[in-house]
Amino acid sequence: MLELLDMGKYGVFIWSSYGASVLVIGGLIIRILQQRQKAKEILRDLEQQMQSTSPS
Amino acid sequence: MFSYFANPERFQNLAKWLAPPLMVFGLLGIAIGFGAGLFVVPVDYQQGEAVRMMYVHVPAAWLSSFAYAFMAVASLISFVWRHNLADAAAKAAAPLGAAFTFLALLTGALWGKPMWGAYWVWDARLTSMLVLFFLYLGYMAVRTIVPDEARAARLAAITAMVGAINLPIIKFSVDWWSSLHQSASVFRAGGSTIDSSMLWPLLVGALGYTALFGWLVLVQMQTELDQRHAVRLRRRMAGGRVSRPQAPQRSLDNA
Repeated sequence: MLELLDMGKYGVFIWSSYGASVLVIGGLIIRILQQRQKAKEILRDLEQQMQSTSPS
Repeated sequence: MFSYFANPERFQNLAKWLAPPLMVFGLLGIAIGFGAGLFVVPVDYQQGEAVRMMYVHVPAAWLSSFAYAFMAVASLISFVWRHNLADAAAKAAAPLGAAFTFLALLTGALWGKPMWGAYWVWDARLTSMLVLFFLYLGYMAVRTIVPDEARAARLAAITAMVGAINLPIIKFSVDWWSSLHQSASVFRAGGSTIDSSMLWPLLVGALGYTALFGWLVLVQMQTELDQRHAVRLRRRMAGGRVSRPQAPQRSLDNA
């Protein structure tokens, strides 16, 4: 296990680079999906408001 | 062809169909690339275990240039044909490209320290990648700072097109100038110099990054179109009193 973490004395660089990649990619995905959800909700609310205020 | 894809409804249908497989291929490709890079590929005879950083650095570096090329082409289409969807595509690609360029710079620094003895050197390849990062930031700054959306779109498109001159500089910097960075070892005349046991995870990972980029661009574009539609609805509800100028509207007016 220690050998795996050490990676021939390069462990800190290797694990940091993989960790940073996972964090950045994961963060991007979460942020973009949150924005998408928010935009959909705002649009849905607006469309409902439009329907409720439009003359029948 | 451009006018066919300018219809937002057609685009939304295409995005709904295309997004799920791109997401699956993207995440799977990255997982395989990372897993094989960490645990499967053999140790390099020169770099030892440090070669494992190639599997996070190289796909991010490739994608950072690809994303910029995508943004520049979309900007050109938006600028010349006032194509609303192309403008949304360019806008969507910018933060993704910036994030992957940041990743390429960061993982490159982490790879550089054990191999070169320094996190950063003012090398032609590294410097041109830093310029690429600033070009992305500049593009996003123009879109944020300029209040008139149509003017912001045109100025940002010009920024993106002018900045495209940096792409061949990045590619050929290692040949044109004396560089610490290694020259091309995958896409080069005479074929790849990397052994197939080390090459396949790199290609799978790079395809995964590209598919993920495609998925996220589609999602960002859908968000952007929804936001623009929301602005129009608000304007309609306010009886036309909201007068913020909009981006090229030709195609969205049909939505």
